[in-house]
Amino acid sequence: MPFAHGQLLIRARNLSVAYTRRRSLVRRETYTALEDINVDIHAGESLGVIGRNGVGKTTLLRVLAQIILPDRGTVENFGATTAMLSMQAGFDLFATGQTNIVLSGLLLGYTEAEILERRDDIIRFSELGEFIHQPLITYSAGMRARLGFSVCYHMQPDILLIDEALGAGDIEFRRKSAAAMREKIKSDQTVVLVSHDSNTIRSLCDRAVWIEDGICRMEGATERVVAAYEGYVASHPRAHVSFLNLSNAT
Amino acid sequence: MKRPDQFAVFARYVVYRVKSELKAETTRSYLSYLWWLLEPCLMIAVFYLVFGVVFRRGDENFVSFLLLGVTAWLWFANTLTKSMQSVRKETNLMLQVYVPKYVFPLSAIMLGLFKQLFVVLLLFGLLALLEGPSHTWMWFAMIFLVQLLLIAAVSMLAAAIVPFVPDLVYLIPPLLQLGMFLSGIFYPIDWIPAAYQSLFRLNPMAGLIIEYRNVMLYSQLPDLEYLACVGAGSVALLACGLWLLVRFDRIYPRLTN
Repeated sequence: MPFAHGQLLIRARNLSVAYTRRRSLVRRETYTALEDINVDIHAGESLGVIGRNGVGKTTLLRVLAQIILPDRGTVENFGATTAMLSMQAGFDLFATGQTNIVLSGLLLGYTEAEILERRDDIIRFSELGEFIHQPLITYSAGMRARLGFSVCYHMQPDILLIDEALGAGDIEFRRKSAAAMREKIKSDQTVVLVSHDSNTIRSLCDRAVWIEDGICRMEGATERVVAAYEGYVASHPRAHVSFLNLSNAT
Repeated sequence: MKRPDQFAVFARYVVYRVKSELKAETTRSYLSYLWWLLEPCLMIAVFYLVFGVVFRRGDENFVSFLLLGVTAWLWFANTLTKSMQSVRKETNLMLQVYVPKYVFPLSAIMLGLFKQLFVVLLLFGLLALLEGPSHTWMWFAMIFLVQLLLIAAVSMLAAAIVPFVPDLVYLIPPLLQLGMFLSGIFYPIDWIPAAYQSLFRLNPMAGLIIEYRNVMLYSQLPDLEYLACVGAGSVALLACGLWLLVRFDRIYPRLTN
């Protein structure tokens, strides 16, 4: 790991994102996903982002990874690579599993030689056996997820972004992969973990951010934030997702 | 993890991606690589049948004439068709990991170039057989290079704009059809009334096909001024396309069209 523990990797300030949806040729509607969010990510920490579905958590991950540009606010990255876990990024359905391992690894910034060094471990972990020589189009969805997870697990970026699911694939593989990921998160891997589930965040994260309707409600020690979130969820029925609301109204 | 500069990372990715797509193509049809050659052959057969046999037009070297027009046109049309959706199709990928968006049309352009080099080898073989070589053949490389610039420019621009205006996906194919008929693939420029000939040459594909025929069939030198104009225009257009792709790099994944 090229970064000292605790070193600032990403500094995000005043992030706001609003999506525009075209309803007809002229009519547009906007939907605010994030409003004035501040986040710091330090090397080696596990940051939890908690909140219910549809409150902008995934959008936050994408902004932090500098995949999308926020409408307002800034993201500074001090040299860390980022990618989503369980990504099947760059997978070409008509290429073999072997080839796809290399394609994904290259996207994560590794050289072909570095990827080949890890290839046997990846194949073993994925439990795909002889299927690794077949094109991905012949795989089941679960097999593809297993390959995607294994690649990302063995060639992880400096900051791993996890959206809800720790594991992938069928029940058995999900258990194994989630356990491996838990180990990794507890080690020195820098992680941003997004979840609606307070137990996941509580067991894995040092620090948490609670987002509700695109606004940061609270930030700080996991226990305090999660407790406040649980209290809120228990006392507030689910708010309508804005998009549905709007489309009913128009 | 080492942190090589971004361009090196994505250059490696493009090269590997093109290789793997070439390999994958072989498994997706029974005749695999043969289609690179069969596709132009079939198009030539169609034109020969319609214009050579049915309408009795075309000179004695009509096959060579068609060969040059069809191979140049298919390279252009196929690469543009593949590029125009290249950015739009990859939303899923770009939402998971950062990729500079020029990577996608660049892959399509490289794939097309590789296939075309293969086609050109065969083209030279056939023309040597049918017409006999000429010293003006060496100018082919220059026209080829100008065409590559033109293809790159149009492909990058289409890839950059289509995600914003997806309707273009329906508009580009008929425009290509029109372009095919106006590029003189199966007729010489003399068929055009003299008053319109300079207008005809404003279509760069029409002009380039004329130049290809001049150096390959008629032992004439190419019109260097014309090639320079097309080349310069292409470079300017290419710059526009790249600028758009860079300018909206982190906007493309947000488009929900």
